[in-house]
Amino acid sequence: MATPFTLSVALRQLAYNRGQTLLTIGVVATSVTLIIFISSLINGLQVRIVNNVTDSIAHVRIMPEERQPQALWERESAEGDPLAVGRVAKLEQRQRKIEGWQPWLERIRSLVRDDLLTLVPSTEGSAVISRETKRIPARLLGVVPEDYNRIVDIQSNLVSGRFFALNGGEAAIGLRLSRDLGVSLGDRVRLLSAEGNVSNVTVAGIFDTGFGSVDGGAVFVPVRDAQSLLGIGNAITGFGLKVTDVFEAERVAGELRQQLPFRIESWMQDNERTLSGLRAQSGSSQMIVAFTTLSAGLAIAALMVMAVTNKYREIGILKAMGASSRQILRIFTLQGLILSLIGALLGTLASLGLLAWLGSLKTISATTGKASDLFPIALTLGNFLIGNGLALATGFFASLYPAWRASRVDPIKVIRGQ
Amino acid sequence: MSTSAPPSPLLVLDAVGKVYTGEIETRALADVSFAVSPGEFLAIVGSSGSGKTTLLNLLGLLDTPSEGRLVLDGQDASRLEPDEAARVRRERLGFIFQFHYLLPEFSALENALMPCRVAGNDRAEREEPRMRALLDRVGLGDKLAKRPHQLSGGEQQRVAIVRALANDPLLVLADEPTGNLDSRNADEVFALLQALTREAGKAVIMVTHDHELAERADRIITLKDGRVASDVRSPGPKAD
Repeated sequence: MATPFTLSVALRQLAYNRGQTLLTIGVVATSVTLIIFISSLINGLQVRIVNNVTDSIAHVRIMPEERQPQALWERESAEGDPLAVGRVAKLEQRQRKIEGWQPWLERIRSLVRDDLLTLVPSTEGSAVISRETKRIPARLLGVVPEDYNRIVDIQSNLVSGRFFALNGGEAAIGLRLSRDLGVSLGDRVRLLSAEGNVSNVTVAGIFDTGFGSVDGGAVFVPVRDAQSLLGIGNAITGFGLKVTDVFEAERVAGELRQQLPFRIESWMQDNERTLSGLRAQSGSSQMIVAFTTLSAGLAIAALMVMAVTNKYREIGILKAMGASSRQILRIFTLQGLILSLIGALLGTLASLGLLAWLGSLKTISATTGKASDLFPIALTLGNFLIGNGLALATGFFASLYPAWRASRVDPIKVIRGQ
Repeated sequence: MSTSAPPSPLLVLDAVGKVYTGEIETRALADVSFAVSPGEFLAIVGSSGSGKTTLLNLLGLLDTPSEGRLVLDGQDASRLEPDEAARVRRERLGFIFQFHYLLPEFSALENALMPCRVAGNDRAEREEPRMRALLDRVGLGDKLAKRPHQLSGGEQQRVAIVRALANDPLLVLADEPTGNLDSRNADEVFALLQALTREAGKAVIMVTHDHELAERADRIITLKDGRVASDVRSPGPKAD
């Protein structure tokens, strides 16, 4: 659409009206910076919040179906019904377990396939961990440390001792729990399961993951030890799995529900409030982007209307020379495009610089002394495309009105200075 | 109303009238008829409000007559669509205004070539040597690269004259071409306008309120209240 004539006039005018050109580019650049920066920051915050939730838990948990108490009159009577009036149905709350679980492991693996990041059997129950007079309720987790580490990274967060190659009779506990109990590496603690089984174990590893529920209330022991504490023989209490995209967890859970006779929960169900908060945040981020785009568009339009008004006489003489309205329209829409192109480029560079700088800022945790990023930044290609795409579209559309005004200039009215 | 009828007139106005409609109807021109031959230098004079500017706008196809016909080079150009009118202006007409209206972003040479640029870049390249020569002819040979603000008023208007000849028009329309210059510069610029158009064989229609200047044209049409009051051949240097 650009002919040498329209392009040369567009470029020369931009170069000639340097102040106005720089101002317009500044508006575009600032908006692009703002859009990329805000979305990266909010993205980053969301990623951090979601990670805080999802890094310490399985994304989807598979557990035995909870047996629902059922009143007799709700049961359809069938012949040979073993239930008779006066007999109480026993609900074995404690013994929720999955026997012969290895085939299920393969079944789940084949069902989840591409979405699967990691799948581990879990042996969990409640226990009280005690040392002398201190007794603290805790979650007992029987794990193969090398496998479970893919659900929660304990190994690299060890403060002392070990997690991998945990032996029978050994346990790994969180730093907080160890402080609450007043134990250190090598000390012996007593575990009393809800089933009433007792075991004395040695603290072989102390870790600090930063996740409160893990550090303050989880006791990791080898699978066998947990099985005997929980009294479930070779059975397990469920499966935990991580999926590649945490936000797909509910979909994966839904698919598994159709195929498996188990109770299946996703982290998204358990954290509905967090998620609705995140959605509200995404909404506000989109509003910021929308209003930024709108105000940039209005600013570009206003600046260009001014430029066009200053150029009425030149536009008039060009038309007297035989320039068509379409050529005049092109000159100014080209200017809009050129200004937004340069603005978008500068804005992208500025946002990259800003994000690099903010990303380099560290904060030192008051409790652990660990350095971590002050601002979580999640820069995605999408943010870039959206920021730049919006800038170009805005520049073009904002220039349409001024360009239309320019194309409508009547040479008669402007040339005689009327 | 023309005093003589040349064999093939370049431009014929036949009972042209213009009425501005608005809140009040205003008649600006009535029953204007004359013909212009190729190469003729015609001055249109009249007091303000006599209809000179309206007539020039019609001649420049910047406006359309309310009545009558305007035939340019054998083609009826009375009521052209805006784009068609623009094309005719691009190919057949050259304009010189009281103010030079050179584009400040372009050099003298680029400004002179602007009508060719509007028409397409090939043309600009083709006409460049001729434009250089013309600018040299009007004494601006060493100022081709200067921007308008670096030129004096007389120099700016000379560039504007050369620009009016860029697309090799049939007819040059000049609106008070020296109205913004002091008398010495006005004299020089007018002489150049006359010489260049005569050399190129272009017809010129000049609107002016300056009778002294008009006397130097081949022919003077006087407008009064939107009508042709007189149409006389001047006893100037190029009188037939």
